[in-house]
Amino acid sequence: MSGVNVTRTGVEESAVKKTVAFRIFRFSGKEGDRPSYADYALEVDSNTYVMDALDRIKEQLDPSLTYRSSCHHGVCGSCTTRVNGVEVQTCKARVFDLSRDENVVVVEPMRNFAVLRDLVVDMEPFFAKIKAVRPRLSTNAEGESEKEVPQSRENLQSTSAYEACIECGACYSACPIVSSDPNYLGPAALVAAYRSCLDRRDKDRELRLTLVDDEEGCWRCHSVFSCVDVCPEDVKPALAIAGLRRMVISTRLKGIFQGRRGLDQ
Amino acid sequence: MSQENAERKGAAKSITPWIDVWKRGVGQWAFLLHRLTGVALFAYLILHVETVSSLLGGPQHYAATLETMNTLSWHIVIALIFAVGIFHGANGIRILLAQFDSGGRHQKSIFWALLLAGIATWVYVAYTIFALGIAT
Repeated sequence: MSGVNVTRTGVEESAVKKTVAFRIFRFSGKEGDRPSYADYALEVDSNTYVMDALDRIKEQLDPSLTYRSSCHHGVCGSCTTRVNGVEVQTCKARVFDLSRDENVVVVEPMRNFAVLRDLVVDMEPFFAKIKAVRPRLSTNAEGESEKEVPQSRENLQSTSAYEACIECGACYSACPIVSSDPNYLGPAALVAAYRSCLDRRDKDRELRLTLVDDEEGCWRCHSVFSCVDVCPEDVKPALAIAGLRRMVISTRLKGIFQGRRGLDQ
Repeated sequence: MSQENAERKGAAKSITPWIDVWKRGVGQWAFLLHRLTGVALFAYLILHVETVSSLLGGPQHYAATLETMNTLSWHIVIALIFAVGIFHGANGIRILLAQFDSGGRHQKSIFWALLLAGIATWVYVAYTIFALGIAT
């Protein structure tokens, strides 16, 4: 990779550099300490990503800066943070794109997560909510091979869109309902529940629907669609939540006609 | 974790993100405006009940109450109430449609289409209010 982009005007963009001010959220995480913002000036070019800038700040200006990174090519979700108020993966966010109007880039931790230090947040409650909806396959293994439980191609097409979730937390951060109701399961957990419920091999569908059929579950969503806007994998969590609602209603109606009073009876 | 520390650490309850609309999509705008118009409609409901309750004083008292509202200022208020009601209803339809797969996938287009239809409706309603008001 040459690292040189040629624009329509024929200018080699990597030759274009500018100085950008990075305003970064700082917080030691210690009891009694208050958050603040620190400013760092860096010369960047068109090939500089926010993660590159954070790396250079840490190496050259302030070794105490703390942030997460892993794959460096947009598939793990570890580096998800808020840049100029919007959730992005810093390894995919180009500084030039973010600083067209002003030469200031504000970097903050994800919202709705407790901040451990600087840009690093506590992901454990988020993962706990995903685990709470039992997003694992439970099958009727009688008469089937112990090694393989095949899924039809048609069913795979239904579930694959939601299997793309990398659990980065961007949707959870963008959701204003999580902000006002921290007990809400959130988009990612509901995507995991919907994906598992769509899988026709799964026998815990009704149990899982009882877990999400709750005022803190699928009914808390207010169709804001910010989760859809920020998802890096185009999972569309809001559609999954609507799908869960339809499943819950459908199952309840069937239960009524079968003489059951609720999903759990 | 203490409440104060929870606030510092970003894990405390907050409705500040409800007004975080500048870098967000139309859905966030629609969410905020739906709440604001809902509060406005609730206030109008109280005003409406108060106005209609003047019937308890007899038809003449009710007519006199309505006459006090036959002013340009009140017509502007009523026109604004219609704008609020039209937006709230149209966005409600959008949210209803978003519960279905195709409605959810096209919720942005549905928002703009309903907004345009709502504006057209409101222009007609406002014309009717002000034209009739001026006539009397």
